[in-house]
Amino acid sequence: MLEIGLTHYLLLGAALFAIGLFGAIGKKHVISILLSIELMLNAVNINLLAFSKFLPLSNGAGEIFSIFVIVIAAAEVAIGLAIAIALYRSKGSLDLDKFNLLRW
Amino acid sequence: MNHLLTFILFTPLVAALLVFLFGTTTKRAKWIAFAVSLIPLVLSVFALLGFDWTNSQLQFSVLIPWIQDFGISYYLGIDGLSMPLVMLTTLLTTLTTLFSFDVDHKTKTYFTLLMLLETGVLGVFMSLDFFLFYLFWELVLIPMYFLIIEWGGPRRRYAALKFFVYTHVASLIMLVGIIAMYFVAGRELGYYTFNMIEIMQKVHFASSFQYLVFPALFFGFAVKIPVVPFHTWLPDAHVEAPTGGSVLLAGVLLKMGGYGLIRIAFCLMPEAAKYYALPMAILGVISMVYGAFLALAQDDMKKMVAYSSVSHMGSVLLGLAVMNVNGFNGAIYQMFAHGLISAMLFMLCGILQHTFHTRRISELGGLANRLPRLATFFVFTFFASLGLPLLAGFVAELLVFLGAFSVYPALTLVAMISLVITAAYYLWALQRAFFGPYRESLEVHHPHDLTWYQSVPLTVLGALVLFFGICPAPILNVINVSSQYILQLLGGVL
Amino acid sequence: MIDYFWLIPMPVLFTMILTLLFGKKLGLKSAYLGMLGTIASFCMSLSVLPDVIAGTVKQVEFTWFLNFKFGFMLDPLTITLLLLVSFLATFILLYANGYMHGEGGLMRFFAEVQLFTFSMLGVVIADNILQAFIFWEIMGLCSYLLIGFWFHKPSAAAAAKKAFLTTRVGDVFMLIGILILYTQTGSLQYHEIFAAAANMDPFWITAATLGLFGGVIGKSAQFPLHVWLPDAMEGPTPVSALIHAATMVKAGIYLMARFMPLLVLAPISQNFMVIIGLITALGTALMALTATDFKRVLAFSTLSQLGFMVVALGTLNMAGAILHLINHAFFKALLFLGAGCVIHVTGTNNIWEMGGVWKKDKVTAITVLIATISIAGIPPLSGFWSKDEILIGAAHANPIFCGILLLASFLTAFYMFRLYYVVFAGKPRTEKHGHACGKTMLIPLVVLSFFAAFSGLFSKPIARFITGETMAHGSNTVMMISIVVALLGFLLATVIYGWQKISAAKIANTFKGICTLLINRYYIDAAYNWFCNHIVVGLAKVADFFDKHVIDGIIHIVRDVTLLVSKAAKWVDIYIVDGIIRGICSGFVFGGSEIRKTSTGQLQQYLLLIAAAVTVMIALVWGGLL
Repeated sequence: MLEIGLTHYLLLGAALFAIGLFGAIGKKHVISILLSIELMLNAVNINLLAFSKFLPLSNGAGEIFSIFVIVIAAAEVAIGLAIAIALYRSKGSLDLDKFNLLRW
Repeated sequence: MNHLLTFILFTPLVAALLVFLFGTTTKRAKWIAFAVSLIPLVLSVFALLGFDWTNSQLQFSVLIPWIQDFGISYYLGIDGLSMPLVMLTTLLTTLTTLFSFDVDHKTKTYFTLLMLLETGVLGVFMSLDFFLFYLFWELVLIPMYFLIIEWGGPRRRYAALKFFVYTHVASLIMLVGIIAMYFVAGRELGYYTFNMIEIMQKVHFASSFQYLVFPALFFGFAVKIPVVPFHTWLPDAHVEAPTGGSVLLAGVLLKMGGYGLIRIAFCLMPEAAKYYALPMAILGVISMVYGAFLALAQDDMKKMVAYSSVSHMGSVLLGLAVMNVNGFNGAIYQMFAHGLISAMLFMLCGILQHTFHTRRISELGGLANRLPRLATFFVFTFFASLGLPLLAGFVAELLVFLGAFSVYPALTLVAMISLVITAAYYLWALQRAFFGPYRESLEVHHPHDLTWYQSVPLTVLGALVLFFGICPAPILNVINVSSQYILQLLGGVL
Repeated sequence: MIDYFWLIPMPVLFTMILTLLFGKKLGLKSAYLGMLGTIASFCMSLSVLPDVIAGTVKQVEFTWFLNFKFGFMLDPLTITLLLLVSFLATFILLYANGYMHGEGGLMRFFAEVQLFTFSMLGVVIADNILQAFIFWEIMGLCSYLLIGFWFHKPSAAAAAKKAFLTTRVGDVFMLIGILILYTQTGSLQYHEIFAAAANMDPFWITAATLGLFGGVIGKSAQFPLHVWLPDAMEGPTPVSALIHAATMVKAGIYLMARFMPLLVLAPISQNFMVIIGLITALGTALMALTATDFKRVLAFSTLSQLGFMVVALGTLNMAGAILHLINHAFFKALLFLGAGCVIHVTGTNNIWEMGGVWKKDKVTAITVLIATISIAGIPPLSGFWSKDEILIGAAHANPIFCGILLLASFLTAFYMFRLYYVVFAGKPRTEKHGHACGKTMLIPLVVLSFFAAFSGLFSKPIARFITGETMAHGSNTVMMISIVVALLGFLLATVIYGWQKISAAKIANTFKGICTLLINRYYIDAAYNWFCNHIVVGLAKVADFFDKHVIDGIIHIVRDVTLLVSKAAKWVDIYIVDGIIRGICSGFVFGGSEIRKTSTGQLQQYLLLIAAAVTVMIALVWGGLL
């Protein structure tokens, strides 16, 4: 029986992160990008928890960090959605290709 | 008493500040300047009274290290050479301040500059440190430049620039000489110092070095004196400068050249001084005769007087070049006497300009009928300047000639041509401008005879010219001690 | 008193200062103030006279400055001149009190006259050449101021300038003499110079005496510097009297007499002096023949008489020179004062506008007659004795000198009587009228005429007093000839101008060329004028041109070249030095503007780049490259 070890968790985290990164780069809709970012954050959380479980002398620091990340992710989503709403109100669209305010 | 010289030196600077800050009205600026300028005068009289004229060493000296890394110190002191010139400077500044009471244009700045000028000139006469000396030497140029360019005549821009650039170039060449001495002396002493007296006493420059550096120093001073052919800045500067500027220019600024020549060039480079004695004497004689002829050709009274300065300062150079006690005494006394007399001459030219708006001799005529007091002063001053006995200039000229004749008889004979020419241009000018029938067309200027602030300085100067002509001893005794000392340095060519 | 003899000139200085202070208020009375001074000086001189006669020679020295001294000396020569000068000045001042009536500038006039007198006393009493030179020059100043007293007249202003400049030329020579003496003997004191003279190189003695004589030529108006004296007549008449009789021109004679010990050693100088004296004596006597201005005639006669004195000095005949100086002082002062009276009476200077003055003014006529006889050299009046003395001295040296002098004295007698006849005899030629002369003008005439008549009688004692030797016995031949010559001159003048037997105009027509030459004073003045106006002023103009265009031209070229260089430097600065800097700058600007185009504002693009970069880095780490 295959023992589920650190490597599996890390592979899962890496896969999840890659999916999130792909989404953040490739998606055109702001909301999807926000979701993709959430995916990447969660991939990090998996990594943190996995390291906390499998590495010695971790003292639970992984858990604490992951809780921090969850909190910050929640705050970030709130701000991100607020920006999305503001963008929609000013431009009437949430298609990222139409926004190049930071250009040059 | 220790810091007497410091007080004399910096009171005018304080005065400049006071005038600048508080001289809010024309009247107030004048009176502040005049009142404060009396202080250095009184102090220098104290210095004269306390001066031990049997002592050839420096007196009232102050020596404070300043920038030690370069051997620069704040070193002041006076001896028989500088004492008369310091007196002359403080006196002439006070009298010029009084005489300039009719300046109405930017009065405050004018008097500030005058006071600044005094500090500069006094600094030159008192400094015994090359750095300090050069600092003051250059400081003198700045107020004079502004005096000419702001209060000058129609060609003032040209004159001011010429004055500044010409004398500045000369001082730079002199500076090269000074720096050269600094390094050579430093190598010999093992430490670097700008202290003139220390270098003079401890360092003997090699002859070849002296022959090389002396011309550089000489050029720097010769332009100031001024010696023909380096004199052309002078007539322009004089003609364009305001009266007060001309008085100080002729009265004290020219003396800086003669002073520097003795103090620095002769004392530090005795061998070169002797080596170049004959060329210097020749230049002196050329200045005397050529300057006199130039004066004869002038129609502008002030220009004539300016050229007469060239002629008279030539005799200073001649007296110095002969390197004997009569020549030295005569030359230094000539600087003093010429300071008094030329100041009077330029004041009188200023009055002429002020009264008739012209100084052209050909446009004047018969003024003695209309303005007898002005005419009397003119006659007196002209005769003083042409060397009438019992007036200060005569003693100086006599001593110079006595000194020169024993060394260069033939040159002296040539120089004596200037005596006749000098008399000729002065008397000719008197005849054309003051005698004969009065030119009625001049009446449109409503001429009035001297005002009090004009006649007081003239009277004081006239009295001094007479006094120092009849008894030159007080000043000559002071001068003599220093001349003897310097001649000893020069190797006892008595 | 003898110990304080050096105070003798001081009263005059004192009253001069008082005149300067109070002269405005005193007006004409300043003359009396001045007289107080001159009388005091005269009395002081008189009081030391017995001691000097007894043989006392006094000298006092003070330090002036350093090793230069001022000092005073008293010896027979000095005291003689002190007495003479103060005496004459007293009467000239008295005369001026009348003459200057109604003139402006009296304070100036009287102060200057007193300064003039004081300077003359100063020259005489000095014990060193420098001090004598100082007062000598002050006299020059006084002559300038007094000749130019009426400065509103252009001719007076010109004459004043001419007098000063001409004498100044002489003074320069005198100064050269002083310089030689100082360099050779190391002293300026007379007695030290004379003591050292024995060891001096004869060349330098000759040079020094010639130099001093140059000063004498100037002040005593000898050829070729005689030109100022006739013009000096522009001054008021008392001034002319002062210059001709008491001061100035006499100073020169005095100085040469003083330097007799040196002159003895310099034969070349002696000959030179004789030649100059002869030229002056004869040449100016000729000029007097054609002069028409009363005072000019007198001026020419002064020149001529000074020539006599210089000849006397040149022949080492000091007694003759000084005796003639004294006698000339009296009769010439008298003549000038008389001339002043005549001008006063007739209101003109031109002798051809005068005439018949004898009837108008007897006192003047008689006194001037005495002076005329005296100057003509007719015995027993004073002029004869001293002139005779000079002639004898000249005859001893060389009979030709004597002959020329005799010719000059013939001319003197002739032109003086010509003058006298024209002015005093006959009838008035014009209707011009002046004023009668007051007492203050006539008293000096009377007093002086007494001296002019009889001073010659004391020649022997005075000569012995001054020279310390008894006079050489006169040669009777010379004396007889001189009397005959003088009488001939008188006779000729009487024939032509007294009886008018021969027409003067006819003679003038016959010798027209010579007359024109004489009237124009041999064109010497014209030549000097030309020389001054063209050569001296020309030289000055050339110097001015040279200064303006050559010396200043060089300065301007230096300036222009500097400006040119600075312009070139400016070009280099702008296009090369600054060009490089700006090139680099614009490179950066261009690069930046290109690179910034990568920031598109597309956040996802950025993210892609970051991811790619991270991937590359990871790959590099794995590959062991980082």
